[in-house]
Formats: sequence, structure tokens, C-alpha cells
Amino acid sequence: MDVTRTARTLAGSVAAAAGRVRPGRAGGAPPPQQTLTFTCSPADVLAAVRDAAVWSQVLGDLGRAELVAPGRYRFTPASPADAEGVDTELRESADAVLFDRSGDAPPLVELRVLPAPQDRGTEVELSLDLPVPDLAAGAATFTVLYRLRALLQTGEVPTITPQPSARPAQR
Amino acid sequence: MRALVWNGVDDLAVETVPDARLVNPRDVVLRVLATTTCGSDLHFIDGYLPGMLPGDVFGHEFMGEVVEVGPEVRRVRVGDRVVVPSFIACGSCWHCRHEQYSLCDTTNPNAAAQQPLLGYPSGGIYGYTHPFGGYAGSHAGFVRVPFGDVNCFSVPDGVSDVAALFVSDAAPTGFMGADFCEITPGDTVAVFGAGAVGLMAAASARLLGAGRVIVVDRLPERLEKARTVAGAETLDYTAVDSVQEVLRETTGGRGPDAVIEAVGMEGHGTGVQQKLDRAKQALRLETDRATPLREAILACRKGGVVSVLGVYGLTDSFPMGVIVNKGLTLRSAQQHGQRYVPRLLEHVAAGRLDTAALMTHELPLEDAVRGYEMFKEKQDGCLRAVFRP
Repeated sequence: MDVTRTARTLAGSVAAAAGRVRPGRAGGAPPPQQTLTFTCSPADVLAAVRDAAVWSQVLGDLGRAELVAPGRYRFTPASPADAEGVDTELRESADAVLFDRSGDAPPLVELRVLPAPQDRGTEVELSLDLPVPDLAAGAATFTVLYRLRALLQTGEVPTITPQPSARPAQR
Repeated sequence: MRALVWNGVDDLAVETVPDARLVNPRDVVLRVLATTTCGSDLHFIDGYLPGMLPGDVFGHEFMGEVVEVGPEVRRVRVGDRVVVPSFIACGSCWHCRHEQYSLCDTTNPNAAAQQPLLGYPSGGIYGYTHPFGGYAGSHAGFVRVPFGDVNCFSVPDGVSDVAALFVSDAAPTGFMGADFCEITPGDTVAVFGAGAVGLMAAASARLLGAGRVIVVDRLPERLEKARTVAGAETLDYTAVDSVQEVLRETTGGRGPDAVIEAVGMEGHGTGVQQKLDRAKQALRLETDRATPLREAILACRKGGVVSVLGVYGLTDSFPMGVIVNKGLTLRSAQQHGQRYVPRLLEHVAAGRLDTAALMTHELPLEDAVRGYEMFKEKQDGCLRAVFRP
């Protein structure tokens, strides 16, 4: 048995697992990506995500977006309450929309589209570079992408806020 | 409004909560006229399914009167008497377009919580656990129905509230289970479990042309319902050494052409495996007591269909080898109610399907805690308790 090799493999696995639960990207690893298929066309998806109001709607409880100048967008997280917005610049290509931060930081938002097979619409890949552990970032990215698909396909974002319950805050 | 809420494991209460209201433009609000217990509720009441929050209003099988419609609702009108399937569908995603409504791609607000469990999240459901959306349920004075035009079905004048109520879930779930069996005229179908879903599966198998329907349970009053509601033969599993053997013998050694499992994770049974399951479930070492599921797989004829309607978590000792070596087809789903409700209302209106017979107890909502206790313990022959808010 190659103990050294086994130990290295084990250490690599532990490091990878740690990278999924600790904030920040280890070794410049890309942010988690989520992919869903939308029934609408690639053009419709790309057009929608140029609209800051669409981002605010799909971010919902997570934050908001605003157009601060032509081609310049500010994304502000919902918490903490005094969180500063992140200024970004829209960069587009035929199959992608990216919101770039200044300096060397990777794009805050990277959304790519490609036609889905069998006329199923559009495969949409989304990455959000969020300052949270990968597991949380992955869940948040999935939530945003799921909401975006719902909005584009139905005109609504699914929500249970507000709704009745017997929790003290709602009495 | 008053509502039945889940405050913890085995801790229910009727409390005052804010009224349900419109949230999205295609929402509808119903005044609940009738709402009923369901066996799948017992899984979170008993603590086997996680994901409820204290204070949650639950209940997912209901009908009512439309009292408010959103600005983009086109078909449904205030005053309509409607029944609503328990899973929420948008009507426009790929799965809804393929009539797989419970797999809706857009109606689960907590999809990210469910994705790691299922790989791909299901649609939302009223009054169930938060990974299934966390929507407020129907054991209340009012309930919000998203996508009202897709999810509300008008009840014909000749169909009573109670008869319509069970077209919300028990009947379409049972009908779907029978539909999965691809029944050809004269087929023999066995149904494990004579709860409301099992009875509706048995009656539906008849409607779809089965020659013989054999319902397996242990409770005399439920077996009697199987005979009267579904015209089924019955088998008390506690009265025989082997259900498989009896089914094999009574079908000329072939076995039933299809078997519908309508029990779920808190199944009863006999034998060593059942005792082992009970112990492991009590110790939270497994989620399911799956004796009826295993029996269904073993009982089905070679090349037959096993249709699973019971709600399960992670089942131990799943006899995959039996499925492979007998060439079985295993089919399952949460109910695609929107696909079946119109034809079921026709069957009920025409007297071909007796859904109202499922109600054994009718109570005011204020007595809902007692209603669930009766239902859970099967007291006084309780098959389904219906609450009137």
C-alpha cells in the first residue's frame, strides 16, 4: 500500500471539503456554477438579465440591483443592513452577460446561455462570486437561477412571503 | 383566521393566525369549505419527516369558494366553488406541459433546500414541509392558491362539497396509481393499503377495466369499504401466513398483473423484517417501515407493474434484485392532479366513483386536533376526518 499517496489523496479530499464550507475561494477556484434549462430563447434570457429590475426581483430577500449609469450596475446585499453596494460594469457577448468588478476580481455575476437540445429552450449557467462558503454560495446561486427561470416562464417569482403562520412575529 | 398549526412533534393546536392573502398577480384566495386529514401529514406530525417550522399551518387536501382573485387571473371568478389539487403547478414549464404537474419547475420557493435531497426539486405543495415549498396549508379559514387559473377546478352543481374534497388528492392519487398500471381489460390488480388513496386506487382500477381488484389491509372496516366502494375482493394480511402465497394461489400461480402500494413509510405488517424496521425507525436509524412496499414487489407477477403511491424517505432492504430478476416496471409519482381532476369530477357527477364515502367523521376546524388523533390512531373506524372551518 502506498501510504504517502493515500495520505496525499486524503489530505486533498479534506482540503476540497474545507473549501466547500469556508468563505472565499481556495487557490483562485471559480465560484460554484448552477445550470437550469429555461423554456424561453437565449435572446430572451440575455435581454432580461440586462434589466436591473429583473435582478432585484429575483434577488428578493437576498439583495437588490440598480442601474447607476448606462452599462453600470450596483448590486447591494440585503444584509447586513448597512452593506455597501458593489459597482459593476456590464460586459456582453453573443452568449453571455457578465457584471465585472473593478480591478482583478472575477466577475460578480457570470451568466452564459446555449440552446438546449430537442427544442427544450435554453441552458442557462450562472455563477455568483459571493463572499460566503461554497455550500451557501451554491444554494444562493441555485435560488437566484430558479427564481429567474420562474420569472421568465411565468411572470412570477414563487414566494411564501407574506403568509399566515402562528409564529410570534406574525401574530 | 383560525387555523390548525404544527408546533412540534405530536404538538398540534388550533390558533388564530393572519388571514391568507393575495401575493402574486395570478393568485386566488379561497374560503375553505372542507379540508381533510391525510396519512402523509402523519409523517411530520410523528417526526419522521423533517422540515416543518413551529407555527406552520398545514393541510393540503381541500376545496372552497373563491373570495378574491389577483389582477392577472382570467378564468376563475369570485364565488366559484372549486377543488384544488395538492401540488401547485404553473401550467407553463416543461413538466407542466407534459402533464407532470407535481414536478413543476417553478412553484417551489425553497427549491434550493430540496435540490440536494432529490437532485432536481419538485413543485410546491400546500401545508407540507419547507423543502416542499413551505406554503401555508388548508386547515384554515382561508388559503392562498397560486396560479389560480391552472389550479382551481369548478365543482359541478350536483357534486357535494365532501365528494369534491377528495378529488383534491385521494382520488387523483389513486387514479394515477391505477393509470400507471396500464391496465388491460380483465387484468388482476392488487392494492396494498385500504386507506383513502388505496380505496380510490382500487375503484380507479375498476373504472379502467380491471377484471379483479384485491385489496390487502388488516382493518375490518376498511376492508368493508373496499368491498362496497371499489367492488374489490379483500385480504386481511393478519389472517394469513403469506400474502404472496395467497395472491399467487388465487391467480392461478401467475400473480397479480399489477400491484399498487398505497401505504407509505409508516406501514404495518407481520414478520421479522417489520419488527426490525419498527425498531430502526424508532431509533431514527432508518426513515421507513417498508413492509408493504417489499410485499408489493414480491407479490407482483413477472413482467408486471408495481405502482408506488405511498410516501417514503430512504428505504432499507429494498429488494432491487427481485425487480431485476422478475422484470418488473416500477412507477411512482406524487399526484399529477391537474391531469386527472376534470375526468374524476365527471366520474363523481355520473355516480361512477363514490368519493364521499371516504369521509367517516365531520368536525368543525376547532376540533381538528382531536380529528387528527382519531385519524392517527384509527379510532372509531376513522378513515378520513373532514374539517369545516
